Amino acid sequence: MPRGDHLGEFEQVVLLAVLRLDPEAYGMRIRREIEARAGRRTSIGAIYATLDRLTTKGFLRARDGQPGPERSGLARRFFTVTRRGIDALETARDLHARMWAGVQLQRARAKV
Amino acid sequence: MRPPRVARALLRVSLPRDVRDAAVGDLDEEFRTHVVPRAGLRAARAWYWSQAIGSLPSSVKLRAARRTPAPFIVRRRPGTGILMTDLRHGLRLLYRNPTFTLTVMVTHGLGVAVTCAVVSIVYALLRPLPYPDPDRLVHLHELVGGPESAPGHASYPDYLELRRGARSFERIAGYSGGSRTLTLPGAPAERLVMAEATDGLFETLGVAPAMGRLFDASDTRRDAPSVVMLSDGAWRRRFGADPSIVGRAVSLNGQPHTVIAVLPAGFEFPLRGLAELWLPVRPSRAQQERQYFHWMDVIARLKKDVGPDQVRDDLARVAHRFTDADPVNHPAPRLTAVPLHDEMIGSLRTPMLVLTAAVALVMLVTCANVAGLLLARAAGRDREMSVRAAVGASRGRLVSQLLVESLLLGIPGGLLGIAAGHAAARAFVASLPVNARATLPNLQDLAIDPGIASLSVAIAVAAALLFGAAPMWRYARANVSAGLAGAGRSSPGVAVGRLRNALVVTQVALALMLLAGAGLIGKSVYRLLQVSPGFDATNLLTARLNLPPAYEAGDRALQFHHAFLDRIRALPGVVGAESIDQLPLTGSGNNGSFAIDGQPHDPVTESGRSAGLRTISPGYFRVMRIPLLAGRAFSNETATGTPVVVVNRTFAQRFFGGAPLGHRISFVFFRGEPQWEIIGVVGDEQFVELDRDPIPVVYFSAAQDSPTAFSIVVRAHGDSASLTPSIRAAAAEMDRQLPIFGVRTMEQILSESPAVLTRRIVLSLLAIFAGATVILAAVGIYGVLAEALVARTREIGVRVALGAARRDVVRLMLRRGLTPVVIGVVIGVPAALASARMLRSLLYEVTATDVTTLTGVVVAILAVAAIACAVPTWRAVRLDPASAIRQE
Repeated sequence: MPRGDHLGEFEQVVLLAVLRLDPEAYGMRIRREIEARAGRRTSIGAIYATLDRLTTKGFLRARDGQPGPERSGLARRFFTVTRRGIDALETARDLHARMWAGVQLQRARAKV
Repeated sequence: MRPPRVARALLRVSLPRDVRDAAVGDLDEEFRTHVVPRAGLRAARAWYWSQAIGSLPSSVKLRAARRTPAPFIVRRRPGTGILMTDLRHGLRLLYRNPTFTLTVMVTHGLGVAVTCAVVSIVYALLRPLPYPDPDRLVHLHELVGGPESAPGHASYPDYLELRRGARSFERIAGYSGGSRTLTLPGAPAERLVMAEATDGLFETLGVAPAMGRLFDASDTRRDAPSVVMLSDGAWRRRFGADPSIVGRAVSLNGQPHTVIAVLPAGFEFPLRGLAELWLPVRPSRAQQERQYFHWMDVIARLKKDVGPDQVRDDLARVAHRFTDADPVNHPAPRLTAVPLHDEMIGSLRTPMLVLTAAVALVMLVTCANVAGLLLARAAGRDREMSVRAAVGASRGRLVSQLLVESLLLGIPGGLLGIAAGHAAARAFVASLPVNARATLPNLQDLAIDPGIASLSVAIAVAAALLFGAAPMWRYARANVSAGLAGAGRSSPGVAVGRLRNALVVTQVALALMLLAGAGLIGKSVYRLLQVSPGFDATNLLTARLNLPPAYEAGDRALQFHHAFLDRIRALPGVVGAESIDQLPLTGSGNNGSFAIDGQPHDPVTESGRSAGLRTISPGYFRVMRIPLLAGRAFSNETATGTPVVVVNRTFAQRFFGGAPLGHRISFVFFRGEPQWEIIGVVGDEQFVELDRDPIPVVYFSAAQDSPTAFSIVVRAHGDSASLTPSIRAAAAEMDRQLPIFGVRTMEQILSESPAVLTRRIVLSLLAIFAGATVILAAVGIYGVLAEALVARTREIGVRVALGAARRDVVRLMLRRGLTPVVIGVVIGVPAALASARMLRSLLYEVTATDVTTLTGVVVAILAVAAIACAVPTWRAVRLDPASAIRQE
């Protein structure tokens, strides 16, 4: 696995949110999806910083949509996950699966 | 349902351009479609704010991701000159580093702005007066009393004697002042400030009228036709710049006066600065005859090539002739000539020079600061410069590149600073009270003086070059191989670090000096305003009235007086209303010397025995809350009853050892008649200046000596200023031709009195300065620490990795940041003590070594320094040791 393809945890969360919302994934909905599903409050700036990084890495593709009055006339930017993004997600999931295989958490010990 | 504007703007500015619209649109949409409907507008606005602020760290990351490293190699496009190439490269570098660029520009702009503002004002005040050959103009003063008597006015006979006898002057002329009621058809009567001039005044100044003719000797005769000259302002404002005004008649005090001239637009005579009308001096018979009636100001133009010794001898000779003519009133007169300019700016000259010195210091601090910032940046550019030198750039090329960069930084900041400085200077002048503005030369409209503007540009450019020189010095000595070997390890040289520390030390010391000066003068102003003027100034409204000549007959003036005060007393909200012919702190007023009944007659002691003379209505002391110390106040005196006076404490102490009651005094100007009996002693009321000792004062009752010009003092239940309209209305009801003028609260009079005002002017200038210097010093301290952090990131990382606690990191950073501050304080305190002596003339009830002020200033500076240290220290504490070590 090339080093650049490594996904951080939040990057995975964002990529998954984009997949879930496809083809209607844009900043506001991604932020709300993460808030609703992961219970994690984030700022719009943090979302865009991650979207930007993922786009630069080639995991996401962006296209601009239509503006609307509720957005003060500013266009939406929609994101879709690229082939490379899917691969990276799969790699991450496999990694997790392989590492988790056969692991039994011992709650008593974990508490120490 | 608009999102909070400021938060939205903040978000927009912080985000990089390509993300801006999408992200802000998202937030707006969520705000409108989800948050407001669910949580309400208030909560939604709070949510928007939290989003905008929460996005700031990510915005910084986004911006950082977009910044590509600056190219090391400057490629010259074919066909472009070296200068263009340098310009392009410089612009690109500055654009890529906006924080740095802005900091430098703002710092430089601030310095230039302060310099420019102060230099404009100081230059306006100190530059030669707007008359031809202004150096030859002098003000002549007659000193009639003993050696300590204050410079005073001349009598009309004295003036004529001067004109006849003095030989060192080309011309001598006199002036005086007053006011007149102007009535224009269809407009309410208005009281205008007027000046009176003898013939030859304008010729002495060297001023010709814009149209019409000047006064000649025949205009000053009492039976000559009434004439008036208009100031340019009066002509424009009140007569619509009527080109055919000369020869027309206007009504002044109900009498027609023929306009004979309009004065030129640029004419100003600050000693009668507010005058809109100029009338010829027409001395009354008493003024013409009485040698002791000192009421005129006299100016003169020296002959060419006359030295000060000649002038002194000449004036001494003329003074002798005064004594010959009237030994009783002129036992030992002296005449002095003061340069007219000194007469106008008076005590401001020294503080202005001090300020000019301070301005040079501030500019120096600015340069030091910008040089420091550039040095810090230079530390990070060693590698770029070394590589460029290695691939063949000559030293000259590198230096010229730096030169262009510093000009790119310096010129826009400098121009902004010049504009801001002029705006500040104008705002400062506008903040002065009208009478102060009019009585200082060259301030009327402080235009951008071409000399000052070019000087400012020169300063800005010179400063840019000067601070550009700092990195040049670094690279001119650059050792290419050392630069390359150390490439990446961006630790600045020891010498550079020392230089930066020295800069901070200097800045802190300077800031301390300026702050201490401002603090001392601020305290003086405070103390002055705490000085009891001898009366209770709160809720007192004052106004002035001049009765037209029609009231001079019989006891009409007195009747009006009574009726008018009664009417005001009946107004709602009024506690009491009384009158006095000359309000405290509004000018010298009448003075006179007197004889004490039963003591042998001696002209010399009597001429030194002088007192202020005031005429008041009976209840004046009660309304002013001046305590009665002995005897009684006026009650129901009559013009035909025993003549009685009340004196103040200083009078009682100085002339009667504290027991004046029952003594009788007579005044020279009443020709010794009548004898006035002293019936009471009251507390001292400060008439002259808050920072001087009270003068002896004799109060007469208006019932026994009714003036036709007087001021009223009205004590109100609450805010006295709100009484203004009803008092005006009361006056208009009694006589439509009677305008009330000069309406001011007593507190205003106190705070605009010369002693306070002079200090306030200096104080605001010093405060601007000190503020700017403190900001500059804070930037400097921040710069030192930020740079230290960059240089020591690796070291700090290693320390933390090896187990150093946060506390140790904080200590490391603070030691680095605060050491130069502490040294600066150690140097600054004695420097402040030394420089405070220059301000001594302005200090009041505060010593130049005031411990409280100094302590306060030191604490303030340390606090600012601590704040400046906070951010870099915080960053150091949060440093991730792993990435810090890997960084290099």
